[in-house]
Amino acid sequence: MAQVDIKTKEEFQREIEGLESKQKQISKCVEVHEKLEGQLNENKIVKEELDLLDSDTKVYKQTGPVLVKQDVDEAKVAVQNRVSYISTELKKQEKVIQDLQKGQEQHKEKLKQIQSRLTPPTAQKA
Amino acid sequence: MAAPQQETVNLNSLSPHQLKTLHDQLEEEVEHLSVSMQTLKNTQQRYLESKESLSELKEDNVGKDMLVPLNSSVYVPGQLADASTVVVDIGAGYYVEKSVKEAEEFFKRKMDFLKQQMEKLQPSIQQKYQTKQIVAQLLQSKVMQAQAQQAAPQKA
Repeated sequence: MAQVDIKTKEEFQREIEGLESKQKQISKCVEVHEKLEGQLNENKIVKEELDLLDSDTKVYKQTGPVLVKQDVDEAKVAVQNRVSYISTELKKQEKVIQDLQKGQEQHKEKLKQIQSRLTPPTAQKA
Repeated sequence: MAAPQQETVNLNSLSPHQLKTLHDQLEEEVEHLSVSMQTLKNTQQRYLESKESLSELKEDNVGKDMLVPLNSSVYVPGQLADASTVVVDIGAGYYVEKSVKEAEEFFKRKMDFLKQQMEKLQPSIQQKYQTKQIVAQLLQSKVMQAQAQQAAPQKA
């Protein structure tokens, strides 16, 4: 009986560690996701502003402390590309989070199973 | 719309411990949303200040002496050369040359947008706050019930 308990304890410990590590990973991924969302929204707003401009308006792009003159249409394309890129990154991140959450659920299930294996023997003793 | 029982979990079925956890979680959410709300207000204030500073760019101020900031502690003397256009930061590292009027319209657009966002956020904050209050009351009544039962134990 004691042997079974040790093995089960180890399994329990493993599942708990797995669960904790998944939770940490999920937190990090959620942070990245939020940052990407912020960037996406900012770029979308900039795109809208650029769309309101005539083609001869002066636009400058900031590189470090320097403002470099840019063509309106070039700027529009550049921002549009950024929007597309960030959208793809965002979707990738969402998939990663979903997979991690599935893994988390699996750990929780295993923990439940282990717990139900542990409790009946104690109930029988009483 | 107020009834918490519309949520997937009936609040009454939760233990005091679970209610406390839920209460703390709601409090954190309200706090987080309130910080967002404050950020929106601050940003709106900055746009307002930018818009108001445009009013100094009057034609009759052209040629007047002014101090130009090189950074937040260093200024150089200069003169107002052009009061008709400004370069405005539209975000993501892009700056656009606009006429004073266009710049004013830009700032107004931004302020209206922020106002919309704040109006969207406000109901969420209120709803969470109210749910939190309900949970707190429920928690309190359950705790009092448990204490009353302990004080006068009855064999059922």
